[in-house]
Amino acid sequence: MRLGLPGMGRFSEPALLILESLATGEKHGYAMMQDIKTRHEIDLGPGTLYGAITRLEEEGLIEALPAEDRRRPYRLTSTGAAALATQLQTLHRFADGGLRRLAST
Amino acid sequence: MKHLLRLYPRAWRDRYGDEFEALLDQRSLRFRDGIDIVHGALDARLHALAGSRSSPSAPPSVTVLLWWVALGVLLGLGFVVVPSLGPSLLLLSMLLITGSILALGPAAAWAAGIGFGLWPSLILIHTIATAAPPCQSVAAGTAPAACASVPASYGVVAAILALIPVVGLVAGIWIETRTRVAPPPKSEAPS
Repeated sequence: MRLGLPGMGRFSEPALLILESLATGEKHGYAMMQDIKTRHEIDLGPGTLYGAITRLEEEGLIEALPAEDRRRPYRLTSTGAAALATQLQTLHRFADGGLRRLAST
Repeated sequence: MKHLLRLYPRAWRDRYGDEFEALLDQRSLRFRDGIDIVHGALDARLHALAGSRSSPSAPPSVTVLLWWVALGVLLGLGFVVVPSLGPSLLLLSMLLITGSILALGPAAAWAAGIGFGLWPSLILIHTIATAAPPCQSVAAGTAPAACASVPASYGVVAAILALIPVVGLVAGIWIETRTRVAPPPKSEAPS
C-alpha cells in the first residue's frame, strides 16, 4: 500500500496533497502550496509542486483553467476526484485498523 | 533564482514557464528551493526524454544528424587522424575516442530515440577496438602508457557517477534536519 497516489513515482505524496487541496475548489500553484503548508505543515518546493502538477495533468486527474494574470488555476477532473476518494478510503481503512490494533494492546 | 527556470526543457517552459515564474515571485525563496528547482528541471528533462521516446513524434532529423556527425568526426579523429600523426599523440587519440563515446554517445543515442542501452554497447565496441591496433603490444609489454588512459577515464567517470547518490543523500539529510517539523502534542489514546 502506498501512502501517496499510486503510479506517480516519487511524486505520489505531493500528488495526493495537491488533489486533496483541490477538493475544496480550483487553485493556482502558490495557493496550493499555502493550503498544503497550512493544513499539513508540509512545505512543497516549487520544483516538486510542478513535477507533480505535470504528471497529474498528463494523467487527466486535474485540468488547467485559463490563466489569470500569469497565474493558472487548476481543478479536479471527475477521474481525479474518483482517484482521490479511492486513496482516501484506503488511508482511512489503514488508519482505522492501526488505531484499533493500538487500542487492543 | 528565476534564472534556474532556464534549466527546464523549452517545451516545459512554454507550457508552465509563466505560472512557475509567477509562483517564484510570490514565494520568499530559500537555498533549498534552488535545489528543488534544479531537481525538478532534471526530472522534467528525463520525463521529456522518456515521453519523446514513447511518443510518435520523432526529434528533428537535423538534430539527430548533428549528434551522429559530431560523434563520427571525433571517433574518426581518435581512430585514424591523430594516430597517423605520430605515436606521441596516442594519448590524445585515446582521450578523443573515450571522451566522444562518454559525452556524445548517450546524447546521440537519446537524440536518435535508440535509448540509453546503446551506451554500454558503444563502450564494449570501444574496448574491443582499442584492444586491437594501437594497444595490441600490451601483451609484449611495450604498449604506450596512453593505452591506460581508456580504462582510467572510464574509472573516473564511474567513480563520479557513484558519488552522485552520496551527494544527494548528504543534501537530503541536511535539508531534512533543517526542515524537521516539531512532533504533534500528545493526545489521548484511542478508545
